[in-house]
Amino acid sequence: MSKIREDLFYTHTDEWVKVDDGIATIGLTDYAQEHLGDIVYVEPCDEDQDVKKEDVLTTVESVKSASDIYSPVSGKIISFNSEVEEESSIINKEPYDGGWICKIELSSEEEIKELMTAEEYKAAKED
Amino acid sequence: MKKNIELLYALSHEEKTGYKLPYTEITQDYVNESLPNDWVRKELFLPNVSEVEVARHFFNLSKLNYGVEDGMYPLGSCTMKYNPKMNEHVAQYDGFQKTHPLQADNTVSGNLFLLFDLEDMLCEITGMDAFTLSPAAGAHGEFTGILLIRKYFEDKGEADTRTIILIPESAHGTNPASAVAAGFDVEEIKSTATGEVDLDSLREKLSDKVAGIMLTNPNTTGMFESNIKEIAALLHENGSLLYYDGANLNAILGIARPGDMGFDIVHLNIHKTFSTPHGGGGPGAGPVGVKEHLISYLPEPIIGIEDDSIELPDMDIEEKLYRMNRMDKSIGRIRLTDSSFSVLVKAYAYILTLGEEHIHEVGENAVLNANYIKAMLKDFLYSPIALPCMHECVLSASKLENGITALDISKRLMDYGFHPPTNYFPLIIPEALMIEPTETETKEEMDRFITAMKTIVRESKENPALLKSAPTNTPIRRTNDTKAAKDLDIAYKRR
Amino acid sequence: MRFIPTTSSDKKNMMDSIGIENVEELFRSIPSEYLLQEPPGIGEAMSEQDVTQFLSELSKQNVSFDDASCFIGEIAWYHYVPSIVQSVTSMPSFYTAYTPYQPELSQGTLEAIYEFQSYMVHLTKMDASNASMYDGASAAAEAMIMVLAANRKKTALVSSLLHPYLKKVLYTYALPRNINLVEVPSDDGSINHEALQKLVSDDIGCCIVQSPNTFGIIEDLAEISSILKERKIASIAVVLESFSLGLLQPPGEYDFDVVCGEAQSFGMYPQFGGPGLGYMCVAEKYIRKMPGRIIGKTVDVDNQPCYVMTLRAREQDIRRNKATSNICTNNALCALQATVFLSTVGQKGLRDLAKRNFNHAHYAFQELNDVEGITIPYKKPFFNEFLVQFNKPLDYVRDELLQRDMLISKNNFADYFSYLKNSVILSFTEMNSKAEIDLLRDALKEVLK
Repeated sequence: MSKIREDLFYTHTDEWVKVDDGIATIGLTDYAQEHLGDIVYVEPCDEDQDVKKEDVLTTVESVKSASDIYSPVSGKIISFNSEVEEESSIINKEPYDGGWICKIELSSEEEIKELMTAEEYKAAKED
Repeated sequence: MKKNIELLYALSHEEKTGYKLPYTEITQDYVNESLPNDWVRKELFLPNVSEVEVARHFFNLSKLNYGVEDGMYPLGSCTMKYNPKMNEHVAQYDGFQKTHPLQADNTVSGNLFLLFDLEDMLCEITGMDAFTLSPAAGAHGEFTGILLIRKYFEDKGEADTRTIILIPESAHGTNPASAVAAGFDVEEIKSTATGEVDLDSLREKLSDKVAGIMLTNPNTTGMFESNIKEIAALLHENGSLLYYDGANLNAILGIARPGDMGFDIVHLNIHKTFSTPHGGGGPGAGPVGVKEHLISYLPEPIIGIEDDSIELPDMDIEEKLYRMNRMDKSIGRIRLTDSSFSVLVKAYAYILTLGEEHIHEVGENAVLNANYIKAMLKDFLYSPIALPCMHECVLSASKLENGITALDISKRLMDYGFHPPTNYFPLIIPEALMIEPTETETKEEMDRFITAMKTIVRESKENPALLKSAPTNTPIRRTNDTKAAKDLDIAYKRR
Repeated sequence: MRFIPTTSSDKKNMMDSIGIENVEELFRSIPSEYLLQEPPGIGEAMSEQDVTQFLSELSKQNVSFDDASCFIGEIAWYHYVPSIVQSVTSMPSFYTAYTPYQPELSQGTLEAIYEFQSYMVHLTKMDASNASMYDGASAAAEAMIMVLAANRKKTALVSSLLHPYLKKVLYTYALPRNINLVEVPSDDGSINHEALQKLVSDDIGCCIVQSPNTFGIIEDLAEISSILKERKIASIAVVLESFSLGLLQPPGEYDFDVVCGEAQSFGMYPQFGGPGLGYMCVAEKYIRKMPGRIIGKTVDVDNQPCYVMTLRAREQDIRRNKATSNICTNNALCALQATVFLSTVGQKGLRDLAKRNFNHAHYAFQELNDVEGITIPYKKPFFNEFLVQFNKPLDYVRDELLQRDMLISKNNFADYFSYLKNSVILSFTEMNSKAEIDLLRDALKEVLK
């Protein structure tokens, strides 16, 4: 059974979001990394780029598939976790910690309300 | 068997060579006076080896491969039939291979006749009205075919509105990739449990935005689209076109024709249906056939004839054949030269051999063989589709115990001396094993394959470790694909 | 039927096992109206003896290079093919095998293609090569699409001196993707650098240059690259006559981002156009964007070194509509041909051959330059072909030369460059002896008189 953290928000496309002072940290859920298998590459996001909710932020590649990461929120990308570029397996090992992918400065905090809570995500995955 | 064969770089020595320049009377060296020194290459890192080393190297490498002559090669959807030796022989005639694509038409009348006659035969075989022989492979044919659809709607002033190509979820990956390459959006249609088009899903998706549908028939689960007539009617009433992916044409070769079923565009995989070799991944050829209303959009050049009242085959017409870039409406040029000519020579030789007498035997025996394998294995492996199949049958490893997967079965088959079937495709059937024996397989070899499959299923219960650790009888064993992708080594570097 | 081994008793046994009385039952899912009542009209079945005799006769209707001297290049070249090339590609386990999806049974193909990639990387001086493309034109088109997607731009500069067919293919591929192509003007047979300088802007995603260009002239790649680099525009070099890489500094030497083209010259006869061999080599930052197959080295569970297809996740069978390209089947056997050819001639042989081509073409240039009725419009460094203009209609000259067993191209460059009347590219390789070139000179003297 894959882990779901209580203090995070989630999307239907298996991204997690943590909000701190107007900054959203985004990563892939444990469920998603299990399905992808060994992750071999994460394409760096362009820092300073403006994104809209549901834009493709980057692509995560495993041996057998590639998966687009959709932005759960709108705003500006302020940083990309260079560690996942250098050692992509960190997403497999610590999807919620060292395996975060990027940080976005939110343009609207309102959008957070549209995301799923841990409970809702859990229910969605059980369906 | 030699398992690890060093790269030729490892044998290189400056005194070795496999080549000597021919004699020439032009002895002046023009390089110094005619080429700026900066532009002259300083360094070139290729190995220097003797011819005997090259011969041994590649002969030993070839022994690490499995080919159609090693035994059964039941890769579903790939039609790994026997490649007649005659094909290779005729393609190497000097009169064919020592001709240039830019020779004037009156110096290549033999080539033009061959292509013209082949187009005609492909029309007969598929029920289409005209063919372009240009596309280099199946996916290139798809791209060409979808560009034809685009051009057709552009001509009707509907290019901006007809933006969607419908594709069943069971389709080959090239279909959606080609539709996108040709500028369309893709929408998936649901498949029924037998991989056929779900008519309700199709009706729901139909709108004035739909330019066409891409169908493989028989489909990727090896079943004939029994509702094809209704599908064609629905699409045509909607003003949309039907595209036929010819990957599975072998099943109905000489038995039924896509052109009669309402398809507007057809691509063929010459290297599947028409017996030309796969070459370890090409070259192929992917001719595209169309109905009358699409002829003027075909890519350049087409082969014209000055007087079309002449009956084929009449060798006298050769003088009157020419290539032309007719068409103001053409989608343009899709490759540097006109066609993969030598591949087409092989297909032509094959069709001449089949003739009207034998062509139907291809489809018949391909389908008989697939159903035989299915009948013999259906009590041992889960068979998700009960009906008779066409040229390939899909079985599933999903009901096996001990966590055995389709991949494990495939790897274990190698230990028994067979190439595995296609696995994990079609995507709509979990743990799929797609088996296509083709018409050229012997019953004896199929029986050995069936026995091996039964043994493996038994092993999966009694000694699953045998499957998990397979193969052990092959030049190498299971590979570390993660390492290959992470520690990327894709070219030998000077050390 | 000699390719179908099934006997009537096999057939009966199989039908019994399936539980059917006749084979037709297996086709009952096909609506009966579609079942053919008559076989397709493809003529009577022929024996092998009859097929080979017929095709042999047909092939002799052509004027081949055995019948006449070939002075045609542009998109395909007549070079010698050492016997060993055919010998290796005739090995059944090479030519009958499928794409190497099962590495345990495909190490032969995989290692050979790894060698091909290595050779191409070193020939072009780039960081990586894929396993092959269809041909030089589709390789250039795919390179353009790859680079523009990576740079999120929609406009590409293209040299006006790309071969006209190559240019046409780029337009075909660009249209459905809404890519704008802007042509870079030429001046005296090569790219006009000032004009290029004026065209570069932030909207431009890449620039595609062919060298040697369509007139056979070698472009100043160092200068072009530096103009593009200054504005951070991705540079794509196309090399169609790959023999030139044996003598000329490769585009990788000048920091091009992509080098692609046609490698038919490496061990393949022109074969009336195909198949040839497309290749694509890229700088490091594009490795994971490259279309097509890529072979990588790894180890198996016993830690034995081995080869596999890698970076598969970008491909159409996995990524479907989001794939980097729709390419599936490529030209693997042609890549093997090129690998055997390059292994045989080696570093020294390729240099010697390239130089030989250069010298023969320059001898021809010198001889033809003085013929009355011939104008050579551009006199800049070239490799093994150049443009000539005749004082008489090209069709007439071509027919007269054919009478004398000489073949020149059907392409009149006046069709593509209106200011070039009666002009044609003449190409010279190691296959054209001094005697042949002298005969061409004498024939032209006579015909153009």
